[in-house]
Amino acid sequence: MREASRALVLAWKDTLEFLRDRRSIALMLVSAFLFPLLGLMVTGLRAHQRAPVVVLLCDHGGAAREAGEAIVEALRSYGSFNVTLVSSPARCGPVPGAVATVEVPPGFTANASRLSSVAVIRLYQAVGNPAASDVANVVQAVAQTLSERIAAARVSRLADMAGVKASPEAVLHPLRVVATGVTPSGAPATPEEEERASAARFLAFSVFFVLNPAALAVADAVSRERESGTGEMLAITPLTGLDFVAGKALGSLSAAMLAGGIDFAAALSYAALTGFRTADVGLVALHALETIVAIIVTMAITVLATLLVPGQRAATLMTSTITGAAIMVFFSVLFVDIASLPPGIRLLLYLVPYTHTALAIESYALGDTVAAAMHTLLLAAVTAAALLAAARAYRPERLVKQHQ
Amino acid sequence: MEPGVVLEAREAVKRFRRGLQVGPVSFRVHRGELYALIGPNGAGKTTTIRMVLGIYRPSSGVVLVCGRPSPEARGCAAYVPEETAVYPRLTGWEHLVFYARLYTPPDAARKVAERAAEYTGLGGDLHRRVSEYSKGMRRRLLLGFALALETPLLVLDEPTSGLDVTASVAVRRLVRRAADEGRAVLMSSHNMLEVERLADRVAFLAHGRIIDEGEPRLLVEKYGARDLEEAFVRAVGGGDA
Repeated sequence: MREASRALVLAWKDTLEFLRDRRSIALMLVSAFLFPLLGLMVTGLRAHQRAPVVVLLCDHGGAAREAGEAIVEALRSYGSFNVTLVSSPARCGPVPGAVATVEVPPGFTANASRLSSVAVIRLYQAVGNPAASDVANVVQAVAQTLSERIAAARVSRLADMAGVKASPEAVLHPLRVVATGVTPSGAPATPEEEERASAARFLAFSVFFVLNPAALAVADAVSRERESGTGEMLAITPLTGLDFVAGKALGSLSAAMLAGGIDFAAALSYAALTGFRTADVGLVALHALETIVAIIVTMAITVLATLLVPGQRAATLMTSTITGAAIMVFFSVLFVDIASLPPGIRLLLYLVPYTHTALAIESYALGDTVAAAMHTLLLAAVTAAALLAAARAYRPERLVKQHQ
Repeated sequence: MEPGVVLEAREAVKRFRRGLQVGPVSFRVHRGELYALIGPNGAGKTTTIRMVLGIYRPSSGVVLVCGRPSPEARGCAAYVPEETAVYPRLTGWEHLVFYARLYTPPDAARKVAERAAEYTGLGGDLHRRVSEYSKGMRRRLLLGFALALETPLLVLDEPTSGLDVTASVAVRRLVRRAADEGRAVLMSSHNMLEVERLADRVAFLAHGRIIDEGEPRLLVEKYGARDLEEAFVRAVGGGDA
């Protein structure tokens, strides 16, 4: 009973210290909301952008006018451009001051109506200008639609001339790949499931943003005891190894819970901002839970490392290595299918606790709750093992700065 | 252990890696006695204190505190370190409650904290964060708690180091009072003048060993010196002071 009481006292002290550490909390908030804020900023700035675009009609035929008007309409509905349509300009070619000039050149209508010609739309875009790239995308999309319409008309005309039956679609696209997303069970995935799966990798990566400052804060709470001399004061109290480790673990819960809460809010706001339908509370809640568990894992490993490694610098290096491993794993899951790696490499990755953080989120997003639970339990087991090892490694002299 | 002896080191040695060693050291501190370890930096004062506190387990020999080997005598000694080891984000009062709860059951902890608050003399400042305290205030906070624990042994590492004159005087008075009230006090210092005026007995520590010990007055006489500082220099073979 006294043991539990002392551990709680240490946890109370660590909690007070953490909750008063405004810098770490601010860092967690900034890191967590950085991505949503970036998205918000880009969307907001784009909404206010009015890039000058000129559409030149250098051909007076019906097809040219139709193409020009379709492009103008598409650009205007995009909302980021100040579009000017110029019919019969004095001179064709790039207009100075415009981020992009779209020219429907002379002969467009004639070429569009002939079976042996290609109609061309010229696009002059300012190099390196992001708005010009957007114009290019819009114009390409319009051109694609118009091109298919012209091609369909040509196929119909040729079929009529030949007196055969032909489907423009079958002539234009004789070969097609039909892709269907499937879940791990082999069942066809719904659009929501497909979206969840693609979002899961990003969600697994995003754990890092909150985890990093929180993990550094809890790691610091351990290593600082030795550096500041308070470890020496603790070393002479009746505190046992189990008290110390349990107290530090419970104390880090406040940081972990706060980080989990921030993560939950940030993930929801990001989902709302991007329109992801994956903002299902279960996935976001699991994301927050994994953040909490990952922070406690970090704390457990740091306590062990701090007790085993002499010297503050070495302990700091150890902490940086631990968080560095987290970055590498979370970044890798964005691009790598861990399940397809050779067994040796996969085993190495499985030894890094953060791999299970990422895989738990991915598994849950894919509907494999058993695998998600298994990875989470593995994390909990690693935490418990590290804490027990730390309790066994505890010696009062390991809490003090070495003088000799 | 003889009656009245609170602390006894018997040929205690602490060996470190790379062949470094402190000891063997042997000394006794009785109830109501203020015993000072003096010596230059690196002489082994802090290591000796850590063996007394049970932080370091002696590699050979033994250190007995309250009749038990020091690592098993937790709660028998209170300690004020040289560094003002505090948690800057806690208030002074929170410090006292925190340490009191680690040493005593919850029902007794508040009384210990209140008694410590009186010893510190910090009054309303106890409710300010320790980050706002001066070094002297921090030292008084730790000393106040150590006194309030009322342990048989009080250990102080350089208790007035870095303090101004007024704060040093206040700390010395509290330390002397603790010994006069019957506690055994072990302190380390390299302020010879302070030790000469305060300590009942002194040990000269150099190169990890006690080279002489006795009452300050007798040591001064023994070495034909004007003061303890000169006696120390002669004891370590430093020639004319």
